[in-house]
Amino acid sequence: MSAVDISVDVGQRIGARLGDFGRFRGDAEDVMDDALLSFREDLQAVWPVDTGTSLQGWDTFVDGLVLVLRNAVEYASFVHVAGDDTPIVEYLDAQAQTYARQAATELRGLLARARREAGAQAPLFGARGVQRPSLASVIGSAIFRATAQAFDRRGARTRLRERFPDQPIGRATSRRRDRVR
Amino acid sequence: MADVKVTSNASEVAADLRAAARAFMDTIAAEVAESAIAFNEDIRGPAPGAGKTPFRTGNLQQSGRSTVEGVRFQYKNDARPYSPSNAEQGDPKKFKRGAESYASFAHFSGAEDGQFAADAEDAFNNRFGSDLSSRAEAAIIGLLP
Repeated sequence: MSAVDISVDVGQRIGARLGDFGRFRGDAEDVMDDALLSFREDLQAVWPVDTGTSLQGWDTFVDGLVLVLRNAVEYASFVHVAGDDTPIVEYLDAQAQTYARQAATELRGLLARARREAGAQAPLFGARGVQRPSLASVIGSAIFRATAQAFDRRGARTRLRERFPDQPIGRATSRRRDRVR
Repeated sequence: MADVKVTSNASEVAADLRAAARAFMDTIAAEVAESAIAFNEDIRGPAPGAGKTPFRTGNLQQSGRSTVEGVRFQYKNDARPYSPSNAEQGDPKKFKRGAESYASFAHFSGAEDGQFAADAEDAFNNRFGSDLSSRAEAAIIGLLP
């Protein structure tokens, strides 16, 4: 059991960054946003909710051309639906790859248009795709690692039980969800 | 007699500085992580709907994250509304593309509009304010020789 990180760097795949899209930058952001929303739809359709701890543990956001998809809760890699031992994260990883491929295809089209418009002034996109991660990204990753280590030392549910000793942990107030999906 | 020449190995110094910076970052990150976990417990509570976060589909709950932007810690919730046409037709839920987040409006039944945002702000200020700064200060002092 462990934390999971199935983030996808779409920019690296196509050798570009947001700045390369010129006036199509907003369109490129929409493409990434659409990929993120599609992933979230899948996540919420299949992720079981008992305490909500592992659900809330998901970080799902877009950072430039990176789909950041990760969960620091220590048993996130183990979560599965009742009656099926296959970890849900395997399914979500495959879905994330599908959405990333679709996004990459659309982004390549936008890049080509941006390049045509820029004409002779067009930058060499491929050479600019590799870049150092931003400071925020480095710090964000450090905090994610630290959060995962904290959950490894003392489990998420153990923390909840310590925090709310007099309250039932789990399904007491939860709306039962359909587990046959 | 000859010149006096003292040479430092710049790459070793740089490596030492990088290691120190990494240790510093990891130490602060550990304190921020503890605050983030406690904050999430504050707003989630012991079970879905038992904390400060209204719970129907889990969308609001999983859309929140406490993270770093620039040099700011922040909590952000960008929960998007579902497309009603999908829900009416019984199709799998789809988010309404291009729609604004409803997180700032969210509230428990009977509570005022935006109650969730106000509660989240209180909890955030509590966890990421003086509590974090005093723990981070102690951790930094612990790093000093």
